[in-house]
Amino acid sequence: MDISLFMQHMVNAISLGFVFGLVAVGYALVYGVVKLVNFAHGDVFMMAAYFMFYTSLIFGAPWLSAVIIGIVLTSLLGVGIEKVAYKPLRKYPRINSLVSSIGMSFLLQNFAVVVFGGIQRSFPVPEPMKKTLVLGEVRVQAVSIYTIIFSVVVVLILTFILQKTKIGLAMRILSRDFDTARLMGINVNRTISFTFALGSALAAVSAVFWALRYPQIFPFMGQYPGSRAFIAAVVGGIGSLKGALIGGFVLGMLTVLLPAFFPEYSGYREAFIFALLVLVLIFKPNGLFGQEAGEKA
Amino acid sequence: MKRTTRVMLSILLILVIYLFVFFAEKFMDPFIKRVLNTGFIYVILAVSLNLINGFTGQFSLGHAGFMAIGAYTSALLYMSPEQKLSNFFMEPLISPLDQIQIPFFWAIIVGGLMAALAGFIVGAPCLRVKGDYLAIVTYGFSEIIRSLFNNLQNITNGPLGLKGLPTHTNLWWTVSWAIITVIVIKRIVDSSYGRALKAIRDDEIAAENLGINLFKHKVLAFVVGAFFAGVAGGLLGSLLMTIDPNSFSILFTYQIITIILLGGLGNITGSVIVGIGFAFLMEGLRFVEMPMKIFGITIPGILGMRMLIFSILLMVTILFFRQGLFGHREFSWEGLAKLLSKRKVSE
Amino acid sequence: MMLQLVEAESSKKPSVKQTVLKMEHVTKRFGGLVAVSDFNLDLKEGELLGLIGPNGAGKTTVFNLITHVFPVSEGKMEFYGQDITKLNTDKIIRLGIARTFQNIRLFTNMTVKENIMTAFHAHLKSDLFTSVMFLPKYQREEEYIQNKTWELMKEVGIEHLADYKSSSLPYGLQRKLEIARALATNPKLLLLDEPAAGMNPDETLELNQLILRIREKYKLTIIVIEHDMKVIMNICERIIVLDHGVTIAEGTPEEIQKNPLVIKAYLGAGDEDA
Repeated sequence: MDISLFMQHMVNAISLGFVFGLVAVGYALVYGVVKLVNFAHGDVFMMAAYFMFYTSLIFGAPWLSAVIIGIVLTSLLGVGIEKVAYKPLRKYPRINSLVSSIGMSFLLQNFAVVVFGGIQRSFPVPEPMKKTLVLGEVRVQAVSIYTIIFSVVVVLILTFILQKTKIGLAMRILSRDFDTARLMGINVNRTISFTFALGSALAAVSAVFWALRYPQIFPFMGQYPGSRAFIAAVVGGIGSLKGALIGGFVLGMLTVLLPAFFPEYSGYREAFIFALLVLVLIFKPNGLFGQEAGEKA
Repeated sequence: MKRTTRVMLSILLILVIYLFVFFAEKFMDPFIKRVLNTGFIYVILAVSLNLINGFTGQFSLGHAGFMAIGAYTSALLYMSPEQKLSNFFMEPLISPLDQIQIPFFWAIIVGGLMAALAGFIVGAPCLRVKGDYLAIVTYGFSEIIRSLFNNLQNITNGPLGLKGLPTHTNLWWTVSWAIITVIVIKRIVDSSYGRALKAIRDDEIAAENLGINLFKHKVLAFVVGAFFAGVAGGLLGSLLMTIDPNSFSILFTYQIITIILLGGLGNITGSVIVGIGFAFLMEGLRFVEMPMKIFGITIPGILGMRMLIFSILLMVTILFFRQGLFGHREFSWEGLAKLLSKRKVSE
Repeated sequence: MMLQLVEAESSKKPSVKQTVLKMEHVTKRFGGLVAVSDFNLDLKEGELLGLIGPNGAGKTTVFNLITHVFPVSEGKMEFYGQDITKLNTDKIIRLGIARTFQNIRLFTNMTVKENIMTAFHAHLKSDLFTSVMFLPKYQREEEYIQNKTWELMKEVGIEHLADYKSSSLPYGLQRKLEIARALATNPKLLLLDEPAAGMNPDETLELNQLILRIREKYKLTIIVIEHDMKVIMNICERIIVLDHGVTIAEGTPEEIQKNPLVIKAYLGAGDEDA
């Protein structure tokens, strides 16, 4: 393989890595704070794409505005889902919340089928994103570059929120010790709502980058990136944001590079990735960067 | 009530059921028969999933994967060589599968056994993996199967699937297997092994500190559950006459989960009633997807409305009927006797 | 004060008792924290040993090490001469060690009766097929389990609550249920973790009698973790005192009561039960 093709693949891989990574961080964020695997995350991602699509289509809003409105709406959706489907079950065994998130995922998908229709729609792609940059022999999609740049920005913003703001501190404390946090006067409900808002916003941002690459949106579009991000977060260590990002990254790389270097086996890519997940969980049940959480007898 | 009385009553009930099957097979509308068949297959799936999720408390999302294994294994065994030849036109089926043909009954059994083997392979690592993660691993397993079956062109015919499967499935088969499933799993649950499984569900550490081998018992639940899921898959294949890897996806598993939640986790009676009910409800609700004429106005059908209604149903159950519609109330002959004697007293 | 001597069962010499549990230089570290440091024990058959110390001293950790809830960081443990240091929990229980929990771990969804019946599964000889097919061998075992369960419920005095959900029992009776359940695994060594917690003085007296009774009847060796000195001082023949994971004293109840190190360790905790 020549260097230009290799570079193309690498840029592709890195940008996809960031997309998966951002969605994975969204998962990890929610899990870290409320210890819930939010199966509906991928479908919130899907709703984000539709929000932006309709805002742009029906209200004729310029692209950037549609995206921002979409992010806001998605955050509200995330908060709403938490209040309706997870908060009432907080005091019951975890399995109820798990099942609820599965049910929510199911509900969102079917809702989308009925309300938005099952046919694929085309996500609006602004002119600057359609370009292909040519650097010498290497052809790179503008989308990929934008994705990488903005993903880094998002990660920096997220880090700032977590490390430097009060609410970020509250989130970190809550993820360490739920009960003590409440005793310390932290407004748990508000913190959890904010966590879901933030996680959903991350999903929305990833949805933008995803839809720019694959402009065909449809109700089940969240399944694939959602399950990828899932795997990434779990492999990386589901409480660890760093792990999720790295996991998403590795997964994105694998998704692009495997078929590139081993085209004969491209069909088995799914099987390989899931097998990887299973293996990691068997040998490192808490993920590569996760913490041991033993149960006291 | 003495045990022998209960056994006699149960045998009587089974005979009555078979009498019903006899007449149904002869005279019943084929459409309703098909729905009933589907219903009994759902019963097998729900009761077997309940063993893993409800009684042992292991949250498995892999049931569709076990179904797929059973469906494909049995289909490849009961199809004739000619049928296989016409299906595998892109890439021939590997030998000796292309020549083998065995009777339906044995094909189903082997399908179940292959699924049971998968249950062992999935169950073995599940010891190391707790609660939420188990859901993810089993989901992953189900997807691995789907991906593999989509790619093994010379074994499963890939995404084309298998078409023109001979219809062996009828009420005799589905009812019999449903009865076997219910009896076997009920026997397990009522025995000392059942107590061990329920202990694992309630408190793993306490169970372990009573000398219960967690690994052995969790794997047991998986293997038995997977076997019956494989059987159900095999029966479904012959009922639908066509199978493909993508029909055995996580969405199918979600439906079975809906059934066991509605019926009550750890409730066999609930799984039976809701299983059959679900099949009818699914068919009955088709009308919302068809155009309807009301007062001369045609209201167009909304595609996907059926599943949306089910999703809402599932959420309502999760939020308001956490114990399912039947909670922990199981059918028992004693319970029935008490109910009838109460009625008599008040008359 | 009621102390009963259990007769030695060794066939060699009537006065030499077998070692039931031997723990040598057992240490447990959690990261940087040393929960138990160089714990040593030579427990003879029939002994009633008390394990005391302020909160967080590492007492429950010792129990968790014995039943392998987690592995030792250092050291060796032997049960009747067999090395159990690396064995899994369920195997250790089946060898004959049983325990109760500080926080009570009953099966809340099961009845009182079912909780105890479950404990017999460890020694069930019938395999799954035999059980499912309800063959005579299994029928006999099930009958045995039913009968023994009644016996144990009567032993601790809860037989009238057999069909009640275990979580509906008052605290003191829940503790007794846990003891009955532990006995169902047919142990030779019984580890009781704060069995008197939450009991009033009458119940505590009853508990003392129960412990002595079951030691005699079931030929047990018992280790008791307790804060309640009405239990420790009245029934234990030997006491080990832990503080911050370190064994600071060992001796008879009289010796321990007078030991200045022990008094100092407890003064900080303000123990009023002594």
